[in-house]
Amino acid sequence: MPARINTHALRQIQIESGSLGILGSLAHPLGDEGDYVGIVSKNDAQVAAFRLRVDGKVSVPQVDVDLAGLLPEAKGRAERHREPAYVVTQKGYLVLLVSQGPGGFSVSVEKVATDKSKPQRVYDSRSLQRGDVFIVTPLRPGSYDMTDSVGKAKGHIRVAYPEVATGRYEPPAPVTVTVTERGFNPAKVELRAAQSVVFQIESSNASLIVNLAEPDEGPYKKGARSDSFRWTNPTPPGRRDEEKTPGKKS
Amino acid sequence: MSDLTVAVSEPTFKRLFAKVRDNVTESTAGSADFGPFSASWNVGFKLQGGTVDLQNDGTVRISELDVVYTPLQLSLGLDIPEVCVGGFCIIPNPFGGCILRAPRICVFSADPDISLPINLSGLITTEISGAFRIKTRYRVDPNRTATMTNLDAEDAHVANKWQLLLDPVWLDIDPIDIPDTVGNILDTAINNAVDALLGWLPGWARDLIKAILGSIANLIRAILDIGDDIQEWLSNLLGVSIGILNFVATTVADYFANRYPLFEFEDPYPILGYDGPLIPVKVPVLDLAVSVSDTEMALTANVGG
Repeated sequence: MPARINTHALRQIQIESGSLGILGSLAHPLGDEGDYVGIVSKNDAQVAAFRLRVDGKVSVPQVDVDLAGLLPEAKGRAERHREPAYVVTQKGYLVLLVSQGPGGFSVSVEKVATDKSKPQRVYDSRSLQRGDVFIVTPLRPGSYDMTDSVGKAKGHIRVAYPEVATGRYEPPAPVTVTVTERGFNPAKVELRAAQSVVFQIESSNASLIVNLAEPDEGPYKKGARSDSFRWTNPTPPGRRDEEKTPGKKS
Repeated sequence: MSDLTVAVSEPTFKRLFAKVRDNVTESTAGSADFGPFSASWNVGFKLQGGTVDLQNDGTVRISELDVVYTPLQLSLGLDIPEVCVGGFCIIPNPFGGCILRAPRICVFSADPDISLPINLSGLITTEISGAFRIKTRYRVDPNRTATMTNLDAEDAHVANKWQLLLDPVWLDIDPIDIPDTVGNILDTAINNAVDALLGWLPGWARDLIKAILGSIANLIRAILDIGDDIQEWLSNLLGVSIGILNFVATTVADYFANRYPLFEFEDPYPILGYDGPLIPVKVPVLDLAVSVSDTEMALTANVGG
């Protein structure tokens, strides 16, 4: 197979909980048993849907829904008009992720109407709820601003430039940041290369944005490295002329 | 007692052998899957040098005949692992396992492949030695028709011939000797392949991928199972896995025993050529036999018939 590099993962420099992309995934805890419909929007236009059953009798703790994989162009012809269906245990997690493409997804979840109840919107990923977990992995080294556009909290993340060594590198365990009405805790985060931040939402409403403020180009910084080697003749130009003149005594 | 005896001295025999040796040239191409990696090759060889000794036991001993490999082009194809991050446990289950796990983000698609072209033409030699018996063969040219006379056949260059060929008793080929410089050639091929794979990315992204993978050169060496001794690894790959030594041995045996005679002459043997209105004089040669001593090769035959 020819090498395919996920360029969107390398290009994404703004990671938003309200507009999910490759580097930001969202986990939402599920409450009541029942049947649900997830409506997937991309850049605010509805593009796909899926069905979800929350059933205490099953033991599946989390269901991963790849939103990019639900797009009609990502499916085969036979699957194009079929809504995928998932089952997860009560108190399990619905994990929304984007495996490829430019992102821009949001999901609203509605409980399906029964004899006793009307359809009811129970969740909108653009508005994080208490218990939600937002997982962010900023790949590009540099300084990031993190903000909660609802609670107006602010903080900073610094992603270190990767160090190339001879052995394989495993990113360290993620750093956990709690998001409350008072702000981020901690508000300053130092990450090593490819290390993740797990935002634990403890406020009733939040919308998080992690945005690259200043990239760290490492050794590729302008002026940090000369690409070419220049040799300079140690003999001054005047002397060179003298040596070339035939018959001239030194 | 035979009608005719001809002796060929050892120096003359060596000149006859040199002509045969210089005609030997063959090439082959192929590919194979070795599990973690695949290889394709284009291999040719020619023969040079060697010492010839006639033996009292009736054999000819040829030693230290150089097999020069040209072309010797090898291309190694291998998959390098995915580069993924994430996948860690966020909420562990106190009773074992994980309640919530982060998704994995893969920078590379599954198993991207990388190709390492390695040109070893003219850099590698092996030595081949063997013992041969001289065999005689009577060859009727397949283009000669049943109605042709001996004169017709001579005129059409399809005359019958007696041939002397080197029939191998055994052949020994030394392991392929890989020079030190081949290590640099492989390293260069690896660096070029990595540059082709990642060269278009910004510097930080290249460094991120290289950091996660570790040294890609080391990784590729591990996938190829090269270990500490690249010469031994490559010698084994070429000689045993790809089977170049077997190819050389069977080709050399076939060339000497079947395709290039040491010496040949027409039968009937032309004594006098065309002379005005006179047709050539030709003598049939019968019962050709050959014997070898440590100083000469002797041919005996009967004539007429």
